[in-house]
Amino acid sequence: MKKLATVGCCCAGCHVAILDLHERILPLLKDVELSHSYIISDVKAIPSDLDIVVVEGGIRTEHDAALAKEAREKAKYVVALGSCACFGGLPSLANLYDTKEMMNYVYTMTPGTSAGEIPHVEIPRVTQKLEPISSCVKVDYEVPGCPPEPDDIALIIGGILSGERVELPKKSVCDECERKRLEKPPAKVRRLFEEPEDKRCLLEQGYFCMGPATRGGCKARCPNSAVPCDGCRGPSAVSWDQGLAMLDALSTITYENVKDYSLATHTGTFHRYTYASSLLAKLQGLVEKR
Amino acid sequence: MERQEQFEPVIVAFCCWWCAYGAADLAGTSKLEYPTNIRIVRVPCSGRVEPQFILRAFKGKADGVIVAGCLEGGCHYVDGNLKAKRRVESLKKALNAIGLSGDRLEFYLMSSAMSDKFVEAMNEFTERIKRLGPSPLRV
Repeated sequence: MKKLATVGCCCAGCHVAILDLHERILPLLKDVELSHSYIISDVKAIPSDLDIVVVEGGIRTEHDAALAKEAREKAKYVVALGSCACFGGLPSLANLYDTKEMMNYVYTMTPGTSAGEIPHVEIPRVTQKLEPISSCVKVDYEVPGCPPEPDDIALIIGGILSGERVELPKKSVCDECERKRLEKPPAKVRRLFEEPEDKRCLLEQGYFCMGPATRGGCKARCPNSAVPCDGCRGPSAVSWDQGLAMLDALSTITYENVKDYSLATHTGTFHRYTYASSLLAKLQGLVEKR
Repeated sequence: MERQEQFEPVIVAFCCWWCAYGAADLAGTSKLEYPTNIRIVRVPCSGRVEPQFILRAFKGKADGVIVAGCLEGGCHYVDGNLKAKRRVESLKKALNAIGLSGDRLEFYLMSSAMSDKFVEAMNEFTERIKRLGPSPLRV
């Protein structure tokens, strides 16, 4: 019987993805004892001598960093679950802004917030930047996705239990997409509310589909339902920086939009889930340090 | 009094095999002089240069990066140089946005016979980087 624990510093969506295994969770539970899980069970402290710890979410506060370190100390294998843990995820877009400015905006200016003071008593301090957990501990396996595919979770956990080294599929989203390409560049940039044509590549029609640079394995669910891929599964095996690969591809085919470039649009579109781990963010961090 | 060391920039130049590298070669055989700050990386086509390569050069503390390809219409691979030009243009904006001046990156067009153009471009770019000073990542 192996001991599994899950910890999280994020929205718990990835934990729900574990539960999305449905009845397939039962054979796993034959070999696995769920020792600690902050959303599924009610054990408060993390027990020691664990075999697998699944960590969800990126490092945003000092508590998150301590949690990741505790997980590493107590476990033989650490699995980063979800895009936040692997690459920083959506919350890492806040790295574009100064932490003070960001906190001020969130606690005083967002709609539905009554202007109060920024919480500071008895809560962990916010770190300067959101980082993936690999920035502070060694990670053995990464399961990207927002949320991750239950199949991938079953594959990785199953692989650890059986002792085999398993790998996630290396294909890109385009490899799994059923839409057809006519090898014609898009005439103009379109937005999602304009109705896309059936059965034709979304990128060629002018929608910003991140499929070419994104890791497959999701059966191209979004583009097959006429929604452009937004790249939640991070870089494919071929492109090691998802957003730059897309900038590379798109600046050649939609040239007239280059003049309207803004960093927020660029990162929000191409680095939506991977900004914290992108080369651009690393350079920005280094420039800011000076 | 301590002697003020003159700033010698490190410049990485991605030169396409068919044109810019040929021009550099010709500049060498015609004994034309150009600054020693330039480090040439030969690539099959300027269109091969991905934004990742350029940003990695900057991360590796380069003060400036040049991408040099064939004249318009003269690309051995039809339109690789035009793609490179567009990429460089959008990447310049990205560099400006993250606080690393976009002027540290430039794209030049030349044919393999234009050794004088190559030397002129390298001189001009080196002067520009010397004016801009060391890269903020280097200090």
